[in-house]
Amino acid sequence: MNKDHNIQNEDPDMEGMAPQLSKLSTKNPFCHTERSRSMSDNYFEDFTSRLQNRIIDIEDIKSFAPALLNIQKNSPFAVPSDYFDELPSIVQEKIVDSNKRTSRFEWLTLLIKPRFVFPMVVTIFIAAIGINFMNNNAEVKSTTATEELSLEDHLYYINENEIIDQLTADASVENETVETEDKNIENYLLENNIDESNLNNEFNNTSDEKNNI
Amino acid sequence: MEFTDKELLDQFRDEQTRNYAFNLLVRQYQKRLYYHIRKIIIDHEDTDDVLQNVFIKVWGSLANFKEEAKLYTWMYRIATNESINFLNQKKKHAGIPLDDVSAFLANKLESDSYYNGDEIQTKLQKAILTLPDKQRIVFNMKYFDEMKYDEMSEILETSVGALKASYHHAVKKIEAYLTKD
Repeated sequence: MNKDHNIQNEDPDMEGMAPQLSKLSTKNPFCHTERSRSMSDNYFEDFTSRLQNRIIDIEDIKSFAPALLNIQKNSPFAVPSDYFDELPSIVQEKIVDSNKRTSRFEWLTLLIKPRFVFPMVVTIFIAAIGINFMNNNAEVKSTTATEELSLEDHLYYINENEIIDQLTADASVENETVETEDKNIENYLLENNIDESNLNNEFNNTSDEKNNI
Repeated sequence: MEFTDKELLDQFRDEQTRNYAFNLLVRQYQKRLYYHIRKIIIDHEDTDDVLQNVFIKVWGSLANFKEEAKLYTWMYRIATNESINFLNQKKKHAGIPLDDVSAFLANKLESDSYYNGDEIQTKLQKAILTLPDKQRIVFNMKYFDEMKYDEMSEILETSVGALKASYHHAVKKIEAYLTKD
């Protein structure tokens, strides 16, 4: 159809009957762009098959479900007013929120990526060894210092008189021991009727004989 | 004004126009997806939750959409799966026996403030609720949405033959329910 075609060319009497109308173009306003033309072509291409399918379905239902066919198909489900007007912005807000949560979590998930796992494990291992080594050194030093300090503390807190008393006590114990031994010898000599002076003479004679040899 | 899949995807893939394209996509498909979900889940509030989750999933996956199927088919499949998952979760948490779901959903139907069906429509909805979940979806898609079996097959990943059989059984069951006293 010629775009500039108008009614007047088809029907010359139109101008008399409807002069304004006759001047209008007969161009189809529902099919004036390339896009809408392609959509309308597609529509008519499968219209026939859609219509046939619909007729088959109706005939099927009529044959074994006549009660169902008598019920209107309009939806009984209602929605709040403005629901569909507001839904796109509600969805966008939720997406923005979920993106924020994802970005916070992303840096954590980076750590479990293979290229970061090995260096991270090595770093942690070295750090653990270092911390353990430092802890051990700290314990040894503090133990030595403690011992030295304890010795000093001990010496500081010990009374000198106590040391003297202790030493004297030891000496008296020794003396007691010697005295006890002497008494035992004397008791032996007395019990066995051995004269001490005879014992001395005998000892001296023995020594001279050894010297002469 | 409706946009083609290509127009929406091209705009979405451009970072400058991504949000605008997604907004268009939501506006273009929200009603169809809403009513599809609503017929499965019945309750408006639950439908709203599921629908939002569907669009959030679409947002997350749209950049990698391979265009092997139509955009609407793909979104319809997501909506169907999300609806079924939602129902299964509800059943588990509410401790509802699997064969007692129809009574549970029928109660929801009558108590929902956003339901305005008359007596016969309510009876039809209750009849539909007696069907197993998947058969109910098949019936709704064929009877109310007037979808072709090929399209349904792509969405539900079920053969056309199985879908035809399922639909015919569904219609007979509903008819029996409607005609009983």
